[in-house]
Amino acid sequence: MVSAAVALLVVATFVPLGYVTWSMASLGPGSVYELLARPRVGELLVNTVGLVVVTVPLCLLLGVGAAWLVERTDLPGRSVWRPLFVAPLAVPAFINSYAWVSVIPTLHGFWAGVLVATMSYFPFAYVPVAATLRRLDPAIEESARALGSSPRVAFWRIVLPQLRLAILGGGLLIGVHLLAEYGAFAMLRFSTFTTAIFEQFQATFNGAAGSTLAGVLVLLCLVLIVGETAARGNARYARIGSGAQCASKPHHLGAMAIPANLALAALAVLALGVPVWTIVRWLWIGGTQAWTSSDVLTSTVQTVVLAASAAALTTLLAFPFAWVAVRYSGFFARFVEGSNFVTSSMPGIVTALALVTVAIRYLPPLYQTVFLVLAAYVLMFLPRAMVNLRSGLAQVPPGLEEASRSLGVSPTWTFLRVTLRLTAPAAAAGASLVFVAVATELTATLLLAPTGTNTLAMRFWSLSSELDYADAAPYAFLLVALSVPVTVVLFKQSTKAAAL
Amino acid sequence: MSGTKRDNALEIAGLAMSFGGHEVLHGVDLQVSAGTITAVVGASGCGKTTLLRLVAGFETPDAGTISIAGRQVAAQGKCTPAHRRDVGYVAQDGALFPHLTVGANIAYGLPRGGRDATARVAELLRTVSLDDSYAERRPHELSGGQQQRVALARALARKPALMLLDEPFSALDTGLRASTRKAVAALLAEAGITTLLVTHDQEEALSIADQVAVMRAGRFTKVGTPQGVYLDPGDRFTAEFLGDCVLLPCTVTAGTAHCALGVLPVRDTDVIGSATLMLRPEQLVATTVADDDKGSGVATVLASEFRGHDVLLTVDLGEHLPPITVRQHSVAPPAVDAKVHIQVNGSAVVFADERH
Repeated sequence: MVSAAVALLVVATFVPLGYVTWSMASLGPGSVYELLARPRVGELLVNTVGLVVVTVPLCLLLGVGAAWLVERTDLPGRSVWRPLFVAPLAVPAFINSYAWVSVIPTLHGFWAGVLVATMSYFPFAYVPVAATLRRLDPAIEESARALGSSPRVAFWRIVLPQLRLAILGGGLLIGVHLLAEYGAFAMLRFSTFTTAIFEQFQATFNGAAGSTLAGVLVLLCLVLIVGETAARGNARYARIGSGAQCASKPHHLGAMAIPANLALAALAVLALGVPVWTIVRWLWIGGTQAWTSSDVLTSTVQTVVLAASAAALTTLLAFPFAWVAVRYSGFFARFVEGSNFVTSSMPGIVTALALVTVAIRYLPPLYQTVFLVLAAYVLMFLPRAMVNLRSGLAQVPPGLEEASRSLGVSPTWTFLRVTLRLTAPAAAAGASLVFVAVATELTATLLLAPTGTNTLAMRFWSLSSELDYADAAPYAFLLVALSVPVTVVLFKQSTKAAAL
Repeated sequence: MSGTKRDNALEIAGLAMSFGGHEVLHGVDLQVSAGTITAVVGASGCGKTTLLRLVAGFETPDAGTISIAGRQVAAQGKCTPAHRRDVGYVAQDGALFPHLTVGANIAYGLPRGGRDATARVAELLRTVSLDDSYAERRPHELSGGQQQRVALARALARKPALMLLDEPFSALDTGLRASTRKAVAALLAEAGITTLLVTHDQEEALSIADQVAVMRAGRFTKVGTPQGVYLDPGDRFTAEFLGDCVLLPCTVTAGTAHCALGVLPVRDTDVIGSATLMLRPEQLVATTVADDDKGSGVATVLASEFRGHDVLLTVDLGEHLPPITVRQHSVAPPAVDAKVHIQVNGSAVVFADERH
């Protein structure tokens, strides 16, 4: 029964990819070529690829640099810097855009996109790299020093290679976000494939041009995934040997301490200071009046209800996936894991477009219903619930279930009384991640939400598009506030890993 | 066997099992009399844990039958699920539920909402020599030995017809292992609970069980009383698995064996002619003789290992034989390089030479 449910879900995860393939195939190579060989597509390709090629290395540089300074040097105020560079994760990219545009109203185009994206996404590199740096066995670096390497050489030859998995993982995450982001770039009047698909959808609803662009976007996304997998290879860096790991001795910065501190302060101001200052300033200007509109309450309630339902549904559906991943081995289990990872890496706009098309063609009554929005959320955010559930399930050894059954308790009751009870904390953690992701989601929600729906992100979007920055501020504030608790949890988890 | 013949609490016949095309059990038979302890002993990977899991109902056999207390629980195409088998099961690490208190763990298998559950839990805690106050504690607050006792109490709560113990003492340190083992054996014997225990520790099997079954590569090589399997192991593998051996080439004629230690009585055997003779090191006693004594059975002490209560002597018998081991009490043992005479207590066992 579990296998059947999983198989059905796997089929569902292929709806976005299937849609793109199917629409390409039905157009035929001639029309596809005609639609692609346009100057506009070339411009989008240059913009999108350029954005990824410039922003990803920049984010990695900032993330690795900040992580190294904070974790491996005698920089003063370590405990202050640590949370500061995780905190930008609580600010959705489109709110960051809003902050920058309201500080510099003329900001637009490629470099504006790079700036905002870098400030929004470098923590995706910082968090895993900092966690890995804390876990690295200092004895390995010390051995390199004893073998005649200078600190600089030891960093390049010993430390950096061990950060490879963290850097690759962070880089992929940043790349996928860059491809999928709509709001942040639309506000900066910078066109990428995602913003173009969105405009196409608004203009022609479901035209061939839109789906062709979606095909290119999916292709770019697959290139990133395959590239990361290939670069990752079979590399595995585990600490060899046993015994207690000694505390690492921080590098002495000396005269570099002041510039290092200044650089970190500048990064913190750009990534966190700008959005915080903008939101506070507009809240001040708007005063209580901006809050009194009944829309604030309505959209808060709507957002919470929608996000909570999506979180519950996603966690429920993630259970069989996680079960298969933990308790079974072999091709099926790996395939199941891989398939929903690929789908969730697909830009939200592709998933939304696919669901709209499938609904209109085969299930017209579903179009413009909450069901369709929820389906999109499940496809997009299933791995967030699954990763947590999987580690939770892994902590329930089969021996416990066997013990329960040998005590005369049926398999069903065993599942309820032992397995489910023990996975509950992990399920809650996964559900809260999905909750925040849904609450701050903009692209797919704009496309799929039934008329009358007005989530916080949608309200914020329409107000800031009308340049009504003061009235948008309460929504920006609420969206950030919703994300704060989860960011705190994420920060705690990443520091706790150091104790292992 | 003493006493009246009792019904078997566990009967296994022709049990076979394979994983991924690799056969782990090859038609195993075993009977366990009610109220006794049987230990299945073997090296890791020999199939003993699979046997236990089949009896518990966690796995389904490919062939063969299992009956518990006269009720068939596994046969061709019919398999009673684990929770309806009326067995108690104690895993290697205890497998206590981490989210429940000790008391709730013990009460887990009892009917829910039973009025006298608290009293029963207290009684079970006392049975395993733990104070009533432990009921409120969490499993992680207990030591390894205490966790094992709680797991046993939990399994005892439902008064199972058969208790299954999967290496229950191996996670404990040496001192604790011996005392826990003794306490558990006494407790199970007192309660008259039929027990099947799986272990890789032959000393544990010999000391705790009424019946020992030695397993090798999915087959029993010998099943019998501890004394029986130790002194008459049936084959060389079993002999060496259960303890140290002295192995010497010999010639067997009419109930006696001629070897470097002289002419020795032999247990019942069909073997005739050239064979291998097996003695346990503690059957031998070395006594110092005068340097010029050159009679038969005179040997030289090569090394002496003092082990407190006894001493292990490595003795060279000459005649190009490999040195043998003698185990005797440690009061005034022969010195190294001393000439000794070796006396043999009890009879020897002979194995036919393996043909190549």
